[in-house]
Amino acid sequence: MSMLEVNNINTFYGKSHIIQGLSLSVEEGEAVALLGRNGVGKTTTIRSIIGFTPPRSGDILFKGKQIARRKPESISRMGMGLVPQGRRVFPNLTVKENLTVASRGSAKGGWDLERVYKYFPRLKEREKNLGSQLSGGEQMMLAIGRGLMINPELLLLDEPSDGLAPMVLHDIADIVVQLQKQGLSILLVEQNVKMALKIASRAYVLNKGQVAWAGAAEELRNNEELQHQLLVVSA
Amino acid sequence: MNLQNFTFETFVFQVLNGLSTSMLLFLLAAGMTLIFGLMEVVNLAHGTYYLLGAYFGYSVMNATNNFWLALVIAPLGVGVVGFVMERFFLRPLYSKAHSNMVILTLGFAYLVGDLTTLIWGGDPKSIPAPAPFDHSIELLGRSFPSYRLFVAGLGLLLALGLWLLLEKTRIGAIVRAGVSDKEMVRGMGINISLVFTALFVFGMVLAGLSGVVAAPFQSFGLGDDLRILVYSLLVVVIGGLGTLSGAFWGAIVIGLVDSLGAAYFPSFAQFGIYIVMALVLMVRPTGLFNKAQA
Ligand SMILES: Nc1ncnc2c1ncn2[C@@H]1O[C@H](COP(=O)(O)OP(=O)(O)O)[C@@H](O)[C@H]1O
Ligand SMILES: [Mg+2]
Repeated sequence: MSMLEVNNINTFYGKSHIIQGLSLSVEEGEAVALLGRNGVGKTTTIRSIIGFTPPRSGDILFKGKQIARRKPESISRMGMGLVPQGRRVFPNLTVKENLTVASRGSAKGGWDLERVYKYFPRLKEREKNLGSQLSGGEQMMLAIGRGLMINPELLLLDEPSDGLAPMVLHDIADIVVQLQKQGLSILLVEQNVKMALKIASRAYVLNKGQVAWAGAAEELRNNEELQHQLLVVSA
Repeated sequence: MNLQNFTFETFVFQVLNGLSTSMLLFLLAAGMTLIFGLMEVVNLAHGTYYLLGAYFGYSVMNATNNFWLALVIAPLGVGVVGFVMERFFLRPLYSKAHSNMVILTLGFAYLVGDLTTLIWGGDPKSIPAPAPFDHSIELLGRSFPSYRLFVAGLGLLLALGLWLLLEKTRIGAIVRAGVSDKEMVRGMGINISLVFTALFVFGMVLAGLSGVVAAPFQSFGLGDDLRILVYSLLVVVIGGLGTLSGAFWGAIVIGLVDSLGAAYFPSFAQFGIYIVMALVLMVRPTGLFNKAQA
């Protein structure tokens, strides 16, 4: 049984048909990259999965259970963590509150404040600061920490590299790799193709709301021409 | 202007009077501003819940002759009405245009207003102040109704309690998080519709409570619901939408302007609070305490 199985979904914003018959899967413990140029529907795919913008048709199975018509809160509770595009930390809450608001009461071996602080010591130092007072890198750490606090089995990451300095980027990539090695399943949306292909074992490339290419990350990593063809904005 | 009888003592008395009104307004505006901030509901029946609180309190008083019992039971009864309204009437409208809710809550205000007249009659009612606050105390060589001091004190205590609840507890953090990003709150597994119901009921309990608390110092009847609604709206607008501190300072300003205006500028008293609102909005269009300045 796959961790996540998206089957032929169609998602709309009003009348605009954004996701058109998309299918993908994430196996247990696997990191999968979701790539594509700006505006091809990566974020909309994430929003469909977490239930913010449910698909009008098609199935989404999470741990074998149908979630395509469920509410976000119930999908999250099943063990799906979200690190959204733009991070969306709560600006008017302290760092600590941002984390505890998501807390589900620590399950055994699960995530709690202490464990998040061990991963991100910087967050502990900034514990009493407001979300709005953090740097971009710190906000990213907080967004990941918050996503972990719900004790996810699958973590959705939407462009974690966005707007980060190269140094910080490296740290974040390390963390994601570590999380995957510990058994977390990951669906990683990225503009930073190099980083994503280093982390993921498989990749999907979207174009106009459809899967234009799917395969092993290594294959795409080694084929620059294919990368260019799929991912670079044509003039 | 009416300064012939200006003395330090009357000034202090008017300030104290004003502050007790402020505390009542704060209880109303606190619920209103949080409900607006989180749920984006402009509840035009807010003053109706205040009036219901007063009438419920009146009935409990008649039945038990115990003010303190009325103070507890009446707001809870008002909370039940709030629960029914949120669950069965407001909830289906959250996904619709805001104007639907405005019309619904206004309709509710008129309907319940008429019902109160049907049930309790049209003449103004009042509730006697409870012991030990049923007499005046000596203050600066003059007598001052001790009940007003009780109200000011109770209001301050409740304000402190509300602040602690909102700033220091997880449920408070959830409400604040929801004010800034509801969708994200849901994406973290929090059942926001439960939070909506709880907050709405809580806001209505506070409105009902202020209705009972006010009844011993001013008689009440139909008309007070809309009067109080306007005052609360002014407080919320002056303080800035969605902030508790805004509701607090907005209530202080309106309570004082109302009381001092009535004493010293009687011919302008009706307009004083509106003038203050206009001035505030000219300088700070999003209210005194809204961090997101336009
Ligand atoms: N809230 C929205 N309403 C209408 N159209 C939207 C909305 N959000 C995104 N879109 C459109 O949907 C398409 C896909 O957007 P998105 O999923 O954000 O792309 P990506 O994440 O791949 O950059 C774009 O054409 C975008 O303009
Ligand atoms: Mg995107």
